[in-house]
Amino acid sequence: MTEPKGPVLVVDDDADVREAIRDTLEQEGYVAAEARDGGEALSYLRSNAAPSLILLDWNMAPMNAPQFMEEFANHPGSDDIPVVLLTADARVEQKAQGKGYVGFIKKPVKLQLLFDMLQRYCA
Amino acid sequence: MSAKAHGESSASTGERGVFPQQDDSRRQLEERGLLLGIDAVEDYAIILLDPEGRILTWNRGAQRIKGYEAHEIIGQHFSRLYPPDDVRSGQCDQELEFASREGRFEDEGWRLRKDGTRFWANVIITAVRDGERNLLGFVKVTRDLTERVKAEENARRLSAEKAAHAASEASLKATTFLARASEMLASTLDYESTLRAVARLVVPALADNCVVDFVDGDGTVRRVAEAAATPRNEALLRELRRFPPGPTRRSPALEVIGTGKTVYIPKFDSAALDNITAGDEYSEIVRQIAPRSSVSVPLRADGRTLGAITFGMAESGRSYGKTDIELAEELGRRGGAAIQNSLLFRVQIRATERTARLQRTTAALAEARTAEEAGRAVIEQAREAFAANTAAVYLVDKDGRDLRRLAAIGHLGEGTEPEFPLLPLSMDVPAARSVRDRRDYFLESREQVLERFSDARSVDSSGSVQATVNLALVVKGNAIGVLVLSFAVARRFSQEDRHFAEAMAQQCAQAIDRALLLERERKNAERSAFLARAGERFASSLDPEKVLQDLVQLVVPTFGDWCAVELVDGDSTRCLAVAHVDPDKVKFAWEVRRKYPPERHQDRGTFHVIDTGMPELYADIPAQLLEQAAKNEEHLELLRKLGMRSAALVPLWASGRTLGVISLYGAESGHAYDQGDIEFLMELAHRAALALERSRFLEAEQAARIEAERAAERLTEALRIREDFLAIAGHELKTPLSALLLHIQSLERAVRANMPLTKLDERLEKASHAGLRLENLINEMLDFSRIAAGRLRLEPETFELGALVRETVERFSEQAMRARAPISLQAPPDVVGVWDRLRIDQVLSNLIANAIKYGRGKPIDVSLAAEADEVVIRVVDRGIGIEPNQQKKIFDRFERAVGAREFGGFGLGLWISRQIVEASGGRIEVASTLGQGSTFTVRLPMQPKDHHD
Repeated sequence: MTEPKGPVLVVDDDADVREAIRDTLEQEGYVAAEARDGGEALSYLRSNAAPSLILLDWNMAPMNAPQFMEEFANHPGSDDIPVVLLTADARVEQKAQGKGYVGFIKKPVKLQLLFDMLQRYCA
Repeated sequence: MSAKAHGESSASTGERGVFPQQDDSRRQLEERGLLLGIDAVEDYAIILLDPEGRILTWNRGAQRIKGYEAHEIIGQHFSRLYPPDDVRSGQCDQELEFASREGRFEDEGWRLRKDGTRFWANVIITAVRDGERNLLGFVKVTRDLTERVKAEENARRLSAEKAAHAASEASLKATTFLARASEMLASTLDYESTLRAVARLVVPALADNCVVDFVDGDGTVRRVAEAAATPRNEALLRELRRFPPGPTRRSPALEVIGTGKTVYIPKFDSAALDNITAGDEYSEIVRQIAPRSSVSVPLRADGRTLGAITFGMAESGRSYGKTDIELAEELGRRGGAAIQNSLLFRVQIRATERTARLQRTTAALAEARTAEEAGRAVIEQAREAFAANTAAVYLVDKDGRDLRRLAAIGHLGEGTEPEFPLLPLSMDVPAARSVRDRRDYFLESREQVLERFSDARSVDSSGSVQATVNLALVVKGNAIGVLVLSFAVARRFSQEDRHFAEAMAQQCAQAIDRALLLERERKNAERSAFLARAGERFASSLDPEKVLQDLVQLVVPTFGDWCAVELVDGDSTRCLAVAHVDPDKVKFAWEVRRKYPPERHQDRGTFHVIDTGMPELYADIPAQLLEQAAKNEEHLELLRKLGMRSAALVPLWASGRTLGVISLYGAESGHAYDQGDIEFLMELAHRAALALERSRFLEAEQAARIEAERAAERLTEALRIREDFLAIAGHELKTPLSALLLHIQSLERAVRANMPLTKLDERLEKASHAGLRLENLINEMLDFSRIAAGRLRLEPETFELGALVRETVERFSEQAMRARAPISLQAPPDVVGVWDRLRIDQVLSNLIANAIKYGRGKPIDVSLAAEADEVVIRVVDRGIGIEPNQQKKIFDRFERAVGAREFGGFGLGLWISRQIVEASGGRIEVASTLGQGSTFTVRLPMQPKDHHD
C-alpha cells in the first residue's frame, strides 16, 4: 500500500451512497471526506487541504454539479484537483463533456471502474 | 128708267126756263136762292132740282166742286153727278123720295166730277114746297169733304202707322231683349246664374216678377232664380224656396214641366190661387205677392222640358197679350237650348276632364312599382272623378276563394273602415259577382243593390252605401279583381260615366297585372339574391347556433315581423333563436316558448311539421283562430302582444330529415304569407338546414379533432410523465442499488483478496437497508401503477385506529431521533372503525416520514381524535412549510414542493395517500405557513362508504 495521498472528497446528497463509497474507499486504504452537496464541498475545499480527487454526484440539491463546477473554477488550485462525475443518467455524460471533469462513473458504480480512477489520480 | 129718259131730254135743253111748267117754281126757287145769295157761295155746291130731279140752278160752288159749267149741266138730271153704281142702284130716286117725304136727306158718299174723279161729298137734299105744300123742287147742298176725309184718313193712317211703329218698337224691344237674353244664355255655361240674370232682365220690362224652375238629372224640380219689380216681392219669392215642390203642391210651373205646354192664367182670382196652394204658409206668401195674371213657359230643348219660366203681373196691373206670350215662349225655347248647350258642353268638358284624368291615371300607373301603388293611383283618380265616398281595389286571392283588399281610401262615415279587408268570393254582393261574372255593376240606389244581391244587406246592414260601382278588373279574359266605388247618396250613372269608369277599370286591371308581374319578377330576383346572400352567410358560420341566429336575423323584418327556430332534440325541441322586429318583444317570444312549448301529437304546429316534413301556411289568422289556439288568457295576451296575423311554419330540411322548424309570423306590418312565400321560405330553410348540418358536422369534426388533440396531449403527457417517471425511477432505484452493490462488491473483493473484513456487520446492515429502500421504491411504483390503472383495492377490516397510529409512530421513533425530531403522540383508546389497515398505515407512514424529512429537526406532533362520525388524524411539523401556491399541487402526481434530490423518493407519497384516503371515503388536506411548518389532516369516516372500489 502506498502512502495515502490527499483524501478523496465524496460529494453526494444520498447518505447511503456516500457511506457505501466511503466504506469501500476506506477498506482499500483511502481516506474519504464527505459533502452533501456542491455548497458543502466548496466549504470543505476552503477549509481543508486540497483533496486528491473529487467524486461528484450530478444531481444534488441545493447545489448541483454544474453549479459547483462554476464556483470551483474560481477556487485556487482547482486545476490540480481532478473531478470525476458520478451519475445514474447516461445522457448526463454528454452534457458534461468538456466541463472540466476528468472522468465519469455511472451509477450503479462498478467497483473496478472506481478503483481505476483512484489509481489514476490518487496513486 | 125714267132718269134716263130725263137725262136724254135734259141733254137736248141747255137754257134756263126751257121748261114752262117749271118756270113758276123755278122762279120761286130762284127767288129763295137769290135771297139766300146762293149763287155766290163757293164753298158749297148748291143746286136746285125740280121735283123730277132736274138741275135748275148751278152756283159757283157747284161749278168749283163738280167741274161743270152751268150751261153744261142745267136741265140735266142730278144723277149725272153720281157714280154709275149708285145711279143703277136707284140711290138718286131714293134720296129724292126720302127728302120729299121727310123734308131732308143727308148723306155722305162718293160723287163724280166732270173729269170723272171722285170726291167725298156731304149731301143735304131739302124739299122745297109752296104755301100749299106743293112740291116745288129740291135744294141740294153738297160739300166737298174729300180734304177732310183725306185728313181723317191721314190721321187714321198716321195713327195706324203710329200703332205699327209702336208694335215694331215693341217687337224690336222684344227682339233686343231676346238677343240680350240669348247673348247672356250663350255667354256662360253656368246656366243657373244665367237664368237668374235672365229673370232679372225680364223684370220689369216683361213682367212684375219672374221665377225659374229647373229639372235636375234625377227629376227633382229646383227653383234656380227669382226676380221681382219690388224688393219686397223678391224677398217673398225667395221665401218660397223653403217649400220645395212635392206631390201635394201644384203650380203652373210644375204643370208646364209636366206637360211641356205653356200655361196662361189671365186672371189670378182666389179660385186660381186655391188651385195652386193649399192655404198654408206658402199660399199666404203667394197672396202677399198678389199676382194678377201669369204665363208659365217651358224651357225646352230636343223635345225635353228642362224647366219652366213663370212671368207674373202684379202691381203694374198689366196683362199679357199674344205677343207677350209668344215672346215668353221664345225665351223659353232659347233658354232651353242654352241649357241644353251648356249641359252638352259640360258633358264635353267632363269628357275632356276625364280624358285628362285618364291620362293622369296612366301617368300615375306608369310610375307604380307595385300592385298596391297601382291600385292606390287608380282609386285616387276614380274617387275624385266620381266624387265617390270610398274607392277600393280588391284582388282575387291566390287560392281563388276570397277578394283581398289591395288599397282603399275614404270612408262612408266617421270611423268606418274603407271597405272590407277580405270578402269571400262566394258571397252574393256586387263586388264578388262582378268578379265571378266578369262584368260591371252600376247600382244607382240602395234598393237596386238589395233587390239584386241577396247578401248585400248582411254586409251593409246600416245602409251606408246608397250607390255603388263595381268594375271587374279583367286581364286576358280573367277577372283578377274588382274596383269598387261607393257613394253615401243615391246617384245616377250616365253613359259617359259608365264608359269612363270602364276605361279606368281597364287601365287599372292592366296596370295591376303589369305591377304584379313586375312584383313577381322583382320578388324572384330579390329572393334569388337574398338566397345567395343567405347561403354565403350561412356558409361562413361554423357554429350551428350562429347559423340559426343568422337565419332569424335575415328573415326579420324582410319576410316577417317575428320568427323563431325550433331544433329537434331527441323527443323534444329546443328553441335556439328568436327575432322580432320590435326588440322589446323578443322577451314575449321566449316567454311563450317557455310557458307553452310545442306539443306533440297535434294536427298542426311545430311537431306536425317535424313529423311530416311539410310546411304549414296560415295566410290569414283571424282573431277567432288565435283565441282557439291559445291555451288561456295569458297565452292569448302574449300572442296578441307578439302579433300573429299570418304565419308560415317551414321545416329545416336536409338530407332527408327535418332538423327543426322555422316559424314566421306577420304582425302589425300586415305581412301575409302565401304559397309563393312558402316555396321561397322552404328554399331558404333548406339552405339554412344544409348549413346547419354542415356546421354540425364540422362541429363534430372539430370536437373529434380537439378530442384527438387532447388525447394526443394526454398521451404525450403520459409519455412525458412516464419518461420523467422512468428518469426519476432510474435515478431513485439506482441510488440505493449503488449503495447496495458497492457494499456487496467491496465485501466480495475483500473476501476474495483475504483482506480483513472490518465493520462487517455494519456494512451488511447498510446493504440490507439499501435493499429495503429498493423494496419501498418498488412498492411505491407498484402502488402508483395500480392506482393509476384504477386497480386500488381496499381490504377493510375492523380495528382500533389508536393502536395503529401508536405502532407507526413507534416504528419511526428511531429515525426521528436520528433526525432530532421527537414525535409526540396523542391518541385516545377505543377509536374503532372499519378501514384498510395496511393502507392507513401507509398513509400515516408517508405523513410522518414527510414530517421528519421536511421538519428541520423540530418536534413533530401526531394526534388522533374521534369527531361525530369521523376520525381526524393530524401530523404537525415545524419545518420548512409549503408555499401557498404549492399547497394544492402537493397531492398531485410527481409533485413535490421542493427539489427531488434533496429529499429522495418519487414524490408520489402524498398522491398515493390522497388516493387511499379518498377511496376510504375521507379527505386529506394541508395547512401550512412557509418557514413555520405544516399540518396534514386526514379525515376518515367511521365506516367506509364503499367497500369495493
